[in-house]
Amino acid sequence: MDHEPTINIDTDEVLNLEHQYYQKGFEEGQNHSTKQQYLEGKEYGYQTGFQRFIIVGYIQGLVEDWKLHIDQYGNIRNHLDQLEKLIVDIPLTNEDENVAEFEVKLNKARNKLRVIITIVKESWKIDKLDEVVKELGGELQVSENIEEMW
Amino acid sequence: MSCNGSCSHDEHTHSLTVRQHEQESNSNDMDDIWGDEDDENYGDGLLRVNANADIQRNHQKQGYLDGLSSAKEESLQQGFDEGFPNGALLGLTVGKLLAELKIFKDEDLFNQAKKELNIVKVLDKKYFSEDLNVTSNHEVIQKWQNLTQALQ
Repeated sequence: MDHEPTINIDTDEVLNLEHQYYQKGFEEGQNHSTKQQYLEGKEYGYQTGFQRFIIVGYIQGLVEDWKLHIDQYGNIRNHLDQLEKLIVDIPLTNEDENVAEFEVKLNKARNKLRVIITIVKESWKIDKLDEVVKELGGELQVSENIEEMW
Repeated sequence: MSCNGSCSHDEHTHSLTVRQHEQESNSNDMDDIWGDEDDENYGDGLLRVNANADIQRNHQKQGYLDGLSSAKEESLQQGFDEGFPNGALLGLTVGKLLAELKIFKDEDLFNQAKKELNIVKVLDKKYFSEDLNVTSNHEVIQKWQNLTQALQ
């Protein structure tokens, strides 16, 4: 007597396989999007770091030149030392406390710079400086305040 | 990396990757369809392999799609924190160059530098590796460093 063909399905085995395949796909998808997101964050990081430190570099450039010709600018030596200390120590990283320190030091450095510029009568060196910085770095895209970015 | 702020998710990359992923699955299916000697010993090997390939394709694809929308949240912040100091160094260098050029009092040169050292130019993809690290010399910065050194 002919037997009807039978199909034996081990349900557990099938479900387990389904889960394994799903999990494999999930991990691949998650790894891909995690990497994309990391790179996206890195782009923002480069962009924001660049924008925020142009002004610091500019002040450094001015300080170095004044120091190089200190004999012409003898009366600003103390102010110059103080300004240099402020910008040399500015942290480059994005930790919360470092960002706060950046704001405080940059603010003091700007004020000190204005004092020096007034003494040496070289206001042309910082003429339209904020515009120049904006032109070089563009506007911050999400917020002017880095604290609000995340 | 143009970094002009339009750093949105690259949907094209995602869809392209999904397509590649499907192609890979299809390619595996083709291999499975022909089976190997062990499959043939089952008699119903072809059926089993086809069913298995279907299960694999459907579930792996669904998992992949779900995985795409489940990126680990900390990765964005991690990327930002790693990019920030490197961008800061580039910004420092550019700022310093501009100050040196300002002091030199050549308005044309200063304006040219402003154009060439703009964020879009400095953060151009050609200066970065796939993982967004600066590759070897940064030509445009190098050019202006040489120029300002020659002026001094």
